[in-house]
Amino acid sequence: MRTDLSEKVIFITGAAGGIGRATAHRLAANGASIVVADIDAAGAERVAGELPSALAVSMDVRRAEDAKRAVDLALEKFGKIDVLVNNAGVNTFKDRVDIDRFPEDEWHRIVGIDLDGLYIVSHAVLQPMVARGQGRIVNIASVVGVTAMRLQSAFVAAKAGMIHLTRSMALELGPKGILVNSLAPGSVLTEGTKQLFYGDDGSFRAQMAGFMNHIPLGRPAHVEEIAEGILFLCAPENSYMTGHLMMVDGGWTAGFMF
Amino acid sequence: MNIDLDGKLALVGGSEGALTSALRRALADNGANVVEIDPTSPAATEPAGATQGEPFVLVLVSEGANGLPETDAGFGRERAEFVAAIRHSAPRLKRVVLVFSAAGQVPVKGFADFSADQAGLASLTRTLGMELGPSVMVNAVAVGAYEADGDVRTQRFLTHTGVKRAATLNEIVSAVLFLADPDNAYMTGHTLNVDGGWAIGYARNF
Repeated sequence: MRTDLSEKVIFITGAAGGIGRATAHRLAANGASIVVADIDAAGAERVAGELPSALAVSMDVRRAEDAKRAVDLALEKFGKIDVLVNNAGVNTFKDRVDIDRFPEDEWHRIVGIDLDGLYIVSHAVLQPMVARGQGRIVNIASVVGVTAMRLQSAFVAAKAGMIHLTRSMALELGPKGILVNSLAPGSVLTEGTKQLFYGDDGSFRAQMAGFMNHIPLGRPAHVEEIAEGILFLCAPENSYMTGHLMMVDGGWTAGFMF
Repeated sequence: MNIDLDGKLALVGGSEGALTSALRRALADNGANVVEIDPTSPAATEPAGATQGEPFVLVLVSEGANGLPETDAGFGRERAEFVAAIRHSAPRLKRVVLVFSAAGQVPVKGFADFSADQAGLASLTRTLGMELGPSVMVNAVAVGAYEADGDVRTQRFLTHTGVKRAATLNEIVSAVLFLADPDNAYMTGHTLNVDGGWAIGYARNF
């Protein structure tokens, strides 16, 4: 789809790579100015350099003072923020263990970035948004926030928390002119997961092919396909959806497949 | 917003009314050759050879999309017809979009038959999404209160809706266009609630 975002300023966290970077490109292609926020300052600069109108800001979503400074810089450059995309997130890769063995520091790291980070960055962006009486927030959740998976309990809990927080924010902010939705990607091919799916020789791994049998569309998503969903949630024409959880998961959570 | 349906066939039918007409206009404005179909007769989803274009999307609008009914009885037949029409035309399609009431997402007191019927449409969106993937994507739009022909459909939802107004037809149309968009290629079995937040806040009086 194409829409007109030429007057819009969109603030994206975790925008230096993966879904965040693809979203920055997709929204910019529709005319938006992008605030490229990431904990990786060099990565944020690199992505901002790829876009026609952008500002790179380095921030840790766990730190309220970082969020406040990033929002101030964005307002200084662009004068407003129309949409916040809370995309920054992490999962466990090293501690794939059951909850009875799940390390406390890893729990706090994941919930701190994925769930607390959503609150902290939203809190900072909402001050100017509420004052203007308009705005949108798009929260990038995950299918595991809907259907549980083993060995990643902190991520599962944080993503479910994000989805329900989206709903309560939507109820509170609807009368203030602000729409809040979440989007749950399913399996996604990023630089990080490509190796997992394809291995060193580039062929689709048998184990992954088996896993894909449970997804009606039979393949992982490309980051551009997730970005397309985010574009819809940012589109000015799409102005009566709020509190919604939009699944972009190839049908993963549609039902029981055997 | 615009999508590219240039040269593609869009089959649109079900309940006739302001919403269905608006959907036909919008699909045509985005390049589709729009064919009116009657889902009660599966053969009708195979338009005569004179129609040009590659079949792409089937849009079915439920009677329930017109709002809460006056009498809560007699629902169910439409659902069987929709399933038959979708299965019949699926081999030639890429997208199916259903449109029904948000009462299919949250049941409404006093409307047992209607709510169950609309929930049935939400369920078949999911099951047919599984059945027809990966070649066909099946999704839906659940509508809350909206304005059409100078009146508000399902006005009673508005007391419990976060966005303090009814939808415009264009806001519903946009969601259908998104689900019919060839660029939107990784969604199936999903229902978009275009209801101003009604389905999340139903229990709370604003």
